[in-house]
Amino acid sequence: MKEIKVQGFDEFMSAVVSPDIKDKIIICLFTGDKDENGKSWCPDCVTSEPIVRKSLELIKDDDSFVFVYCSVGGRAFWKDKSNPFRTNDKLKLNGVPTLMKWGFPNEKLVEDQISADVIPILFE
Amino acid sequence: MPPTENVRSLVEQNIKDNPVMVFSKTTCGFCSKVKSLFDELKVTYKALEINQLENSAEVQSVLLEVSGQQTVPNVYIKGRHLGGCDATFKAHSEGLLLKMIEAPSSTHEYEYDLIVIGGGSGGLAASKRASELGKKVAVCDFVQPTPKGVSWGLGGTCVNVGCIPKKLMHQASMLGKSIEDAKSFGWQLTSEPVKNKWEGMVEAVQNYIGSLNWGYRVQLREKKVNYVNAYAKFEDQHTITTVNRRGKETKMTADKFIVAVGERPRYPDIPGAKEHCITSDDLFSLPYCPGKTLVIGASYVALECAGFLKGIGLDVTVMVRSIFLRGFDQQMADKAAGYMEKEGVQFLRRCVPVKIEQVEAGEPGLLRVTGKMTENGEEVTGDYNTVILAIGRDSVTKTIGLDKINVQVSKNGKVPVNDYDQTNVENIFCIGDNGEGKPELTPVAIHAGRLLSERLYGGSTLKCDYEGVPTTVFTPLEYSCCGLSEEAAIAKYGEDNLEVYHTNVWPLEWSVPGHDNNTCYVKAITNKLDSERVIGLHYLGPNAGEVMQGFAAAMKCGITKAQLDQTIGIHPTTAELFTTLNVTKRSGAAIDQSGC
Repeated sequence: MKEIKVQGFDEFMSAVVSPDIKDKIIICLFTGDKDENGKSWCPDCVTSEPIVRKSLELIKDDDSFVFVYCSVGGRAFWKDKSNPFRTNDKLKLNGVPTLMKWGFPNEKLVEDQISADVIPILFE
Repeated sequence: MPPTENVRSLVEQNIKDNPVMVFSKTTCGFCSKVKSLFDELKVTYKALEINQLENSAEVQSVLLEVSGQQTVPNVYIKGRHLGGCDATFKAHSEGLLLKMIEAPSSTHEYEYDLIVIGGGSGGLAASKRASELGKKVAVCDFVQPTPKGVSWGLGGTCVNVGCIPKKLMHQASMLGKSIEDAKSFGWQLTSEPVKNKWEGMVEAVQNYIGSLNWGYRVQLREKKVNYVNAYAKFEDQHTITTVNRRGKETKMTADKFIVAVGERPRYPDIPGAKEHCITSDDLFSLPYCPGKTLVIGASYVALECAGFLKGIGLDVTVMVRSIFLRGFDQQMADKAAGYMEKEGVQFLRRCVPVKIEQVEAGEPGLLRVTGKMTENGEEVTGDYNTVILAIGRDSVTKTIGLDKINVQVSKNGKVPVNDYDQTNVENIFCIGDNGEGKPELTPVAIHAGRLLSERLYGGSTLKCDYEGVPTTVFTPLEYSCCGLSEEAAIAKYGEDNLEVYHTNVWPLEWSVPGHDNNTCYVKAITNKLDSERVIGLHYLGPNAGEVMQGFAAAMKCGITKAQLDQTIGIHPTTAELFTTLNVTKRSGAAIDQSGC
């Protein structure tokens, strides 16, 4: 499983359509930006990331998966309800952190759903 | 540094050895809260204060691995991860915590405590509750495709091919009516005719259903219920074989089983039915507009489908053998159908289908339907783009091996059960549409499923009360009811012992657009032998479901006519008419409405 880190909407959109990953199953984590100390403004994102990383170990040797780690931006940008992560039809995010499979905007995991028990549902 | 095996076994051994295990820190306020709760409840628990250990960081990383939770408190009940402080208090407030702790441990050797066959409303409710109560549970759900090849995701009929898409498409058709009415209220619409695009409606509805399917899968995961997308058949009283889409067979064993496989549309035994017709199983995801449509049947499914198809602008005919809405109050049924006729739905009464032939293939194609008038045997033919069969539904209980384990199944597929939803075989239970004599309604199945699991695993003795269940038919003019139909009330108490109050209603919303003032109607049936207790309530008008729900609660409390009269109405509503009913049917007095 390859990991791609992107920052912001435009980088995200170009990453997921890039030809070298277009046949892959793309698992995306949307998370609040981190400051210079590596802390995100979003406390739930801080809690979720190690849980997600732990679950990703299940597919670490599987090349059919790509993991896209997307920092959505700062708090003010994210809270703006008209930001493209929230409005784009292929994403329609309601919150961060969100874990989803690219191409399945109805199939998101948020809040407590981002747990070791539930995450593997995205790998099925 | 990766945690050593010693740390891992310390954590796992503690989880295994202690029925109530709290991984805690002496410095943590939430941990104190949880421990105080257990003290208060006089529950014996083991707390491992990990901040007093040398390797507390390692312990926490093992906890993250085994539970997906790094923080403390981290609570385990009987080897199952419950969560932190919030989860513990939530379980307590829902009355689950003590039940989980006190429930007797399993004494059997089967793989599961409970396997539920059928992932619909009833099955999902029962399985989630059983798992919350600490049991090991699996749900087998598999949708056999329709003759047209349509299938769907987890959630059963209601979510995929029933209540949910039906009500959304009903809403689509009601919006069309609102757009028309809007002109009377001063809205200036552009001159071109406003039209519904079938594909757009279907896509929006299916998208929503997709999110519900996903939600159910996630919920099962969260509740640790194993979802098996495979067709289950009994081998013996404790064993099933499941076959998945790829034909792979797996054996599963359980102590107890719940059968909740639901129903599927019935096909008449006439030429062309399966080849050319569709049913409600196909309609809500139909990729093309059905065009001129014949609906065969007069069930609520038939009338609702006909109603919304007409409402979005299609030419619709309904072929009716005898009566509308069998089992419902016939005066109300006739009024609901009468309104449809006034709105342009054509009815072919006293007619049964004989054969369906394809004139032209296509999407939609053209079908020729031959019918026979039941009174004189005369043949009638008509051409339609789409024919929808809605003549009834059958329990799909005959292909899951119930005969092999001697579970009694009636000829129509229904399963006789006792008051505890138990079949004649003691470890096999049945809920939802499959239970003989039970109302076929989603909320009934959900309620019955939850209560069944609470009786089986939560020490409860509460049975499901199947009386006084309210329901609504989402015809263009909606009809809701609770309690007895007039026919059933007469049969039960005798006409002389009843008083029936009624009135026509003119909803205020109908006044400005100039809709008829004597179309909507309400009726209350009371029992004169019992303080005029309300035993049947019927409402034909806008928002019927929203109106009846509250009255259903009042009827559960045994509301009498006098109490109904003492209730203050909300003005201006249509529901308020229930509080001012003063004309009895017996009196024959006028109930016409002329204005406020």
